[in-house]
Amino acid sequence: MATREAGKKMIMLKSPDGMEFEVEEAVAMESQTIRKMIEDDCADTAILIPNINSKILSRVIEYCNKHVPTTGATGAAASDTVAPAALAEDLKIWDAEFIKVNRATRFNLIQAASYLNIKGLLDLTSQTTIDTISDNSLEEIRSFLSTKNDYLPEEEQTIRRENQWAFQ
Amino acid sequence: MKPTKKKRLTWLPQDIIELILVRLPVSNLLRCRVVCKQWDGIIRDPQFTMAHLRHAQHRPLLFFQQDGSSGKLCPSEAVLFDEAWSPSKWDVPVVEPDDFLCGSCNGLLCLYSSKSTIKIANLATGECMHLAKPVKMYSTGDHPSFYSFGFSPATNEYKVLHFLPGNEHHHVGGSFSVIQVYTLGDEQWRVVRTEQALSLYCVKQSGVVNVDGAMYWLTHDKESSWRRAVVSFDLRDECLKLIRLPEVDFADPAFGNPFLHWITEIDSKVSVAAVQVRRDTGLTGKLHIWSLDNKTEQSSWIQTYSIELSTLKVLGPHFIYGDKIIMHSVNGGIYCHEFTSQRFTIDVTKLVKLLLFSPRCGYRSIQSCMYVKSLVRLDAYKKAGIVRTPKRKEGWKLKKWEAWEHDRSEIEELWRSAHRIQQRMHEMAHVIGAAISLNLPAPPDQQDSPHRRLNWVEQRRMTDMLESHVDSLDAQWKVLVQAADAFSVESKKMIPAADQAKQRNGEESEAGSSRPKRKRKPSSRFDSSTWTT
Repeated sequence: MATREAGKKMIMLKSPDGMEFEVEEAVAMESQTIRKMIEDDCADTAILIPNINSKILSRVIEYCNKHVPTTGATGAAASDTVAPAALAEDLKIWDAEFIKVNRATRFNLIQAASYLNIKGLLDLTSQTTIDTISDNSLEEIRSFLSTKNDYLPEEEQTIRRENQWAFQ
Repeated sequence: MKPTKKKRLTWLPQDIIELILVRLPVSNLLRCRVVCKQWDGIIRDPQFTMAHLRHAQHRPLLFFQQDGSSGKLCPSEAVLFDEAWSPSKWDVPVVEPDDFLCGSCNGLLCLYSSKSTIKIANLATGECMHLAKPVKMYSTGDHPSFYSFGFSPATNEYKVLHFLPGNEHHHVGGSFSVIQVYTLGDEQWRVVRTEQALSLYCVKQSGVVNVDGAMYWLTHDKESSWRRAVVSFDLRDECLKLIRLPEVDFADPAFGNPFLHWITEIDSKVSVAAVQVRRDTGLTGKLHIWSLDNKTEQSSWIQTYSIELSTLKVLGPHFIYGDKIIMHSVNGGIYCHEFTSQRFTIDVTKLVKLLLFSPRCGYRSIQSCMYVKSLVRLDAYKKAGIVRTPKRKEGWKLKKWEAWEHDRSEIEELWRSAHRIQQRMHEMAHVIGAAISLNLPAPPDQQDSPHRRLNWVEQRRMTDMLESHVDSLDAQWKVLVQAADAFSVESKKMIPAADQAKQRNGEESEAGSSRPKRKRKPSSRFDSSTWTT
């Protein structure tokens, strides 16, 4: 509340490994979890974000920074000069670049997006996996997700038979 | 199990797997049960089922009751529209040709037939169970609209309601003062008595909806300008409440003479709709919709929509889906129309045709309701004593559906042979280097999924496609013949290739002699009169 007259209120986010990130309130509020904390006045000092290390948290903040002007609740975005369509196109390219990370990072981002409740980030990070599961054979899904088939052949047959009726 | 294996398996935490799986459609999840036991465990978990249900989108389901009014007997079938508003292509095996729809809730349908059981079915998983109907105390008739189906989130219970027709006629068109209730998993139907007799006629005409743990329907109310009031039945405590409708001056010429009412659900709110119908022409006019705001103690009605329908009519119980309204025309078309404001006029040039329902002709036998594909399982409820295993020799096997089944297999056979012809023509074209354009899609692989059969909407589309395919064969055949002639002239010039060319020529002439026969076969076997109205 103290920094309101400076124009932009800042929020301090702390990762469990001790790193601190100062971010604009509007950026932090991209996360519905943090938004709720702020609205409930639980955010006077630094907010500790459990289970998300500094590497992942910095990437999440990077995402929120990029996405705040177009989805910000105030709507006073810089879209007066840039056409909304061009802006959306730009964001899409940025997102595609952002998600070029290794698998472990992507799964960590999914976890972070879920905990912090950032819908856009959750959609973005889980889409590749969803596509993989939708479009590939069971063997490909297993290898993509490093999962092993632990069924006996007859058990697998039983489950397949049960689902023969599935409505497409 | 080796420790390394364990490490690999636990590398992806269960909560992440759940986060991803919850966003997948049911058909994918059913397939994914075979990935590994952990996934199967997640997908079968009731909590995951509920989380998946919250993510899943509600889509319009059109239910067509069996109908023989055009002279041709058509079976009951369900057609579901996806996010792009395309109709589903496959027949739903759990919906039998003699079923009627009583209610839709959390991906389960309650289906009625003249048999002694009521069926609860999950269309997405194909699971179903049959319940013994309640004992009737009086010898009055039974009707699908006297049954309804709902869910109470507070108690996590599914309940089937039966409005038991009474002997006394408190209302025109019949009345009831007993509701028989069955909770899935229970041993028997229970009786709930109403304080006053309620109108069966209103239930039949206006329907029943399930919104947020309560059932709602209309009854007669002499004091209201609507001549109607809303009855709510809380599925948790099974208490009935009468809710007055807003005071509307129906003498106002703007309202004309409304006498068609629906109870419906719009944006998770129970709503009532009234439409004016001209006595002289039977044409509908303006549709007025009020939604109930019961967030506060004093529930209040808010007029939400005012729609000029022009010559179209709405289908119940659900007709508004997001920013679209579903309607039907008198000539057998079902359309949707987008709206941007609460007051609007249907612009006939902006109607999007969803399907034609001919040869079915009674629009009264079509219901439109919200459906969501879910993983909800019924096995926990199947242990109850009133669950029955129906005797077979029913459904599609009945003699009256023989003709329908025959037509269906004819179309599928025709499709397969037309596709075979197309393949041979493509092979020939490839050999002689001609370019032909035939693109009939491949028929479904029957061995792959024996239960998959085209639904009647897709059967129609396929018949139309086959018709135009047969029409285009002649032109493509000419292209082939010309190319073959050129090819043979060309190859005769080249002595070293003469032997090879002869051989190919032989192939062509052999195919050429058999081809016309094959071409005529589809058109003669295809009885187009069956499908056009």
